[in-house]
Amino acid sequence: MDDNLARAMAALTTGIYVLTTQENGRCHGMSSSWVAQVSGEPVMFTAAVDNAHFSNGVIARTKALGLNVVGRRGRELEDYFYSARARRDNNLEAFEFELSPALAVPWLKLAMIAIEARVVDSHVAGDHTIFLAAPAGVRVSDNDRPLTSLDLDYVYLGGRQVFARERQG
Amino acid sequence: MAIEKNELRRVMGHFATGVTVITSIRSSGELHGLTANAFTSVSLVPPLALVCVDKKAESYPCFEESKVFTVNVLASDQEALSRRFAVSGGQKFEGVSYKIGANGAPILDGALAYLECKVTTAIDGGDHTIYLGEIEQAETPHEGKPLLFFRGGYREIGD
Repeated sequence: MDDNLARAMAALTTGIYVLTTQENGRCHGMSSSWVAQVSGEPVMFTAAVDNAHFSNGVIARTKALGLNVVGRRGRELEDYFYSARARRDNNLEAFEFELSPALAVPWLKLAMIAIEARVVDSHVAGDHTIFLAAPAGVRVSDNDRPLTSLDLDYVYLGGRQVFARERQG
Repeated sequence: MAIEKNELRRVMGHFATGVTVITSIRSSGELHGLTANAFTSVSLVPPLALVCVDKKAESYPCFEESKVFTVNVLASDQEALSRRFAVSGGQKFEGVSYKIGANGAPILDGALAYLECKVTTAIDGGDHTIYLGEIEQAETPHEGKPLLFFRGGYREIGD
């Protein structure tokens, strides 16, 4: 990747999320930062998921996903879901979770906010798929400050590529 | 399970984002810009980003017509610029330092980074349209802290 492009993409501040799925009782989570609110009426957001990622197929089949907002006090979620330990099916046993009431997607106890959402549209965009999703239920559990990409020493650039952040001071 | 609308809006306010001014240009040469925090990277190969534009925004017709936009990532000392481009009406570029980029859209002085994009797809997204753009050029002309937005307010790192 062109270095200028990598630096520019790393300058985009994002929240840090765990996208969760459930299919036939098998629960999965993945670290995600490419999420954006799209619409206020009706409320909808997008999540871009790598076409090669396990979660992509599950979301496409189940038309549902969980969006778990990671706060500063839930930092261990990012540490785990970003790590190689999480790169497998059924990878949620390390954390307490419940299945959401309407869509039965995992809501992580450590997440400051958890949303269950129905996928209403999807578009393949390069090496990722944009899932457009509408919330069906929410759980607010912690008045934390959301973790952002600025809190991390790396920035996800897609695939296995990351940008190492230069710390000042 | 029904969600109360105001509660849902409050919850969505917990999405922490940077703040950008998205600029574009009409075929007449008229410049447009609006403040947006609904943007994200989408793809690495090819490099794609998306921005969401309110269908009621004054600049919306420009984005519908134009096939280009530029994402200007604002620094923590550019809150006034963000507020300027967040309202309708007026000469938004008057007194603002900028240069015209390769795609014709303005690049704002002082922005931490900019990404010049060519629109590839427009997707209906409720009261907004999602514009998917291929990133043709990108630079990080300034070092510094980014302006942040969450829970309905501007923030700095450490807030």
